[in-house]
Amino acid sequence: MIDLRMEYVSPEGLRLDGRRPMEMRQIRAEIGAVSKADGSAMFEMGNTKVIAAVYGPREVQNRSQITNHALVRCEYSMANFSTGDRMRKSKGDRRSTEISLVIRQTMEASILTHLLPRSQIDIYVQVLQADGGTRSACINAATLALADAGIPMRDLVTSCSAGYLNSTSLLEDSAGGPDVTLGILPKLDKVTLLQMDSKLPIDILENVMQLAIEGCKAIANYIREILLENTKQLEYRRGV
Amino acid sequence: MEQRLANSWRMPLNDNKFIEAALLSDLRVDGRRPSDHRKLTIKLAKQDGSAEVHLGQTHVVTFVSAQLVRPYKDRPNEGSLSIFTEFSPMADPSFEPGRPAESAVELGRVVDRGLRESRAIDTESLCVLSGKLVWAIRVDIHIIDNAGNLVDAANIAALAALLTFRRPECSLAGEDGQEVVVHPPEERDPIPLIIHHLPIAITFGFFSIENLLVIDPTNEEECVMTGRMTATLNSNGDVCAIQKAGGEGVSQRFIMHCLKLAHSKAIDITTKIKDAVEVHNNERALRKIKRHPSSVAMDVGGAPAGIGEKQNQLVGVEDGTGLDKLKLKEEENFMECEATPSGQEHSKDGNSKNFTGGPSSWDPYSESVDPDLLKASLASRGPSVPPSKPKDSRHETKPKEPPQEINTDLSPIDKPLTGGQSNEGKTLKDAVKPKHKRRKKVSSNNEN
Amino acid sequence: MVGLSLGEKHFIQGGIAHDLRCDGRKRLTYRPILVETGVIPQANGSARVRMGATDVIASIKAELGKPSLLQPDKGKVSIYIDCSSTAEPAFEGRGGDELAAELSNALQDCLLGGKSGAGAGVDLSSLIVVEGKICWDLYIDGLVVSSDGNLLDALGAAIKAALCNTGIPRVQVAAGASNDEQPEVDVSDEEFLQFDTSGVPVIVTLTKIGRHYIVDATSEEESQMNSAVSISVNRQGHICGITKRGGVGLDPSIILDMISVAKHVSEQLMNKLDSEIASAEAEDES
Repeated sequence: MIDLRMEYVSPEGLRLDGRRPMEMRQIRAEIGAVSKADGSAMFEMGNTKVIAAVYGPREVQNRSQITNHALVRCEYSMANFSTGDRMRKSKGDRRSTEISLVIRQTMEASILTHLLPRSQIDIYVQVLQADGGTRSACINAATLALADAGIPMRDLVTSCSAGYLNSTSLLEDSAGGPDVTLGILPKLDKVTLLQMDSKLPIDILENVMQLAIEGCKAIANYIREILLENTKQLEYRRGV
Repeated sequence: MEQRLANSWRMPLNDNKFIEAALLSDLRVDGRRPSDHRKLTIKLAKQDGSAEVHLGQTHVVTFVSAQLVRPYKDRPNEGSLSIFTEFSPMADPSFEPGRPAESAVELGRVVDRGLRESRAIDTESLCVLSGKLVWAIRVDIHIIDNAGNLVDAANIAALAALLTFRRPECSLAGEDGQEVVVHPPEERDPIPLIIHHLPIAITFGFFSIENLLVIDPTNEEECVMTGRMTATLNSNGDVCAIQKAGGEGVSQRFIMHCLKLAHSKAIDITTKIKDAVEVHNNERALRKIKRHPSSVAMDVGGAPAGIGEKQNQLVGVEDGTGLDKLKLKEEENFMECEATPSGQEHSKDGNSKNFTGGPSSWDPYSESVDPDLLKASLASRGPSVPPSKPKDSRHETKPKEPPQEINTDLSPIDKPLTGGQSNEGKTLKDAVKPKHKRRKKVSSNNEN
Repeated sequence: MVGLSLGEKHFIQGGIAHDLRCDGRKRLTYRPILVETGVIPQANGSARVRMGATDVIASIKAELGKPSLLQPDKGKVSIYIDCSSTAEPAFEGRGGDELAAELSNALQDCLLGGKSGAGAGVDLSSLIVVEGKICWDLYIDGLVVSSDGNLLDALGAAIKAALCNTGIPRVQVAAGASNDEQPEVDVSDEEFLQFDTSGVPVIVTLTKIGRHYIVDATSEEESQMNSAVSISVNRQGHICGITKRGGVGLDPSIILDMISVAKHVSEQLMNKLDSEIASAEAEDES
């Protein structure tokens, strides 16, 4: 195990997939992956590929849940074929319940829920391929889908993860070692999601976090571009 | 999620404003300062591996148990640690029986991540036979009363329970060294888990007003606050896990500030847990000292009553703490020869047999006293043992062995934490081996 | 669930009676079919099929397994369909399970042939590695990403495309293993075998609305159906399976009529699909 990790960053400072420590995997996003939904997006980070669909704002389905804020709900699911070995797990295991909760609360932090009283917003994320960083990819896809659905938001939450191996901070590290997943509101420069496991001294964590924030900001720029492009296309189609 | 809003108690707006306004002047409704914890009480039960934690009104009980299982294929040399949470509906109206709610799942995952991913528990030492048998440690967390900040309370309770937990010792036997012998507790002292460090969870509450935070929020504060972060750190300042699942955004600088605060809190709590565990271990050691004379004074008859239930030994035992090592040894030898009459006559035998199904229902001493009786009882017992287990093959040899052992726990005083291992050399290892076969059945039942 | 006003309902029904549907199609015209293969690199074969707003993904994973005792000379194929909640909020949690089970069963009936495996779209005996010992277990997973009617036809097309895309690794069996031992195998990661997919049927669902029936109904049209019949037809024009899915009873003569129509339509669909798959494969390889 240890040996494997030692080899993970080569002497030339490259990772197994040939990336430099600060290099992100290739990202690709597409708006409108699910035509029936009110808003939808596909987000790819390397081999990780997720689809998010947003339904709403619409009438609250369960009357007892009506409040003067919008009710945000989220469901995370993984396709059977998304992992290397075929998954036989049913929906709603502990991991996906937790990720649903994390995504919901993260999106809630950016949605202006007080503008949409007595309404409900459903976010569904579906993992098509899992190759590390699904949590981040889901949040990025959900942001795009919410923007596509025209839901008022404070900011575009973006998420990225970073790891730490061989005394090097690594952006978007999918195998072994500590893993810090971060979600930020880039304009406000605030951290809304922060999850980490494994063991790291406080000062090193600060560096890793800084790197993840840089990653989030890069993704935020990309997401902005995609949205702008999408808006331009809509404008063009309308013939404005 | 469906019940999330339906059942949760909604805070009156006035209370809401009151808490926020008070916090602005560094006051909390229960009189604490923002960075104070509520009163923490850790109660450790006499039984190993069980802890009860009160954090203010929040009440959490934790039990640890171990079981021999087959390891995961990808980790043949590692035991496992799993955390289960049980939210009692009486603890909070929003907990409903049946499928665990999101919060229960999150609680379990946060505690689990803090303990497991930081490798706080040495799982490799839980391996008995590579690829075949490992110990699976199971931590059951029961929420008895919810007055806010369940994560911290559950985490402390889990740590305290793990620190006091002892698993039965195992050794390998048989020609190929593939047979696993589980030693019952009175034969070889159970071993505590190897715990490298204590990851302490500290929960912060954030509010919509910038740079306002509380530590250890009560449930009223949990209703008001807009963000929560649980940082799990050990006393060395290593961050083992962080969970901030969305909610109010805070700046990175503020998070670092929180982490530093959490570090100092973690040191305090670590001391508290360690103190509680030390007191527990001292008590445990004291109980042990009293136990030796019991087996001496009552001869073999006394021993059966103690199987699996060391605590019982405390009652009705003559004081004999002054006995030294040598004397004990002599008396053991004496017992080996003289066991027959006194063992069978002793009234305690009957008592111990009343423990049906439990580990103490089996009485090795009186049986081994009379080989014929033993053979008979063995024969009748045989079929009940699952035939697949390797240990059964050794049953036949058993009666030929002299009834050698008595628990010779010779270093009772320095019991804490590593005490278990230091004892193993002193037990009468070779002589007792055949007996373990039967014991294993008994003690593994116990674990199940 | 589709909520339609009375006017909309009449419009749909009237349009179908006049052979002009809401989106300008004729009764027996399909929506444009888009096929993309190799969308899931981790799988042995995969394809995504889009028909209008209906979007499905099929993936095929092959695992080495043991053939069943009853059929030692055949491999195993199983089909699982999952309805993602992205397609419809009603599929949340266990909500999609019912439809998923219905689709899985219908696809198994249409594609897998009888219990013995005779007439299956995939030749089960081609999945055998060592008779009675090792075979390939083929797991076909379908995922409904977006649903706008006609899921069964789309899933059938996606599975067909995914099968064309599938490469099964060549397996070397170590010689000299005795009879009762499990032989050792060497799975090649360079050489792949293609399936013979010429026998895989296509599924044509005819939805009866009013006195006429249409192919490739959208979900609005499906909400107006009287009854629907799914017919799977292979390249020889043989019927591989018929499922009547819900709705009112049908006169046998109508079913016979439907079968002949389906047979006719399936030819066009098959050709269309084959050319789409071929071009998608060419694109995937480039």
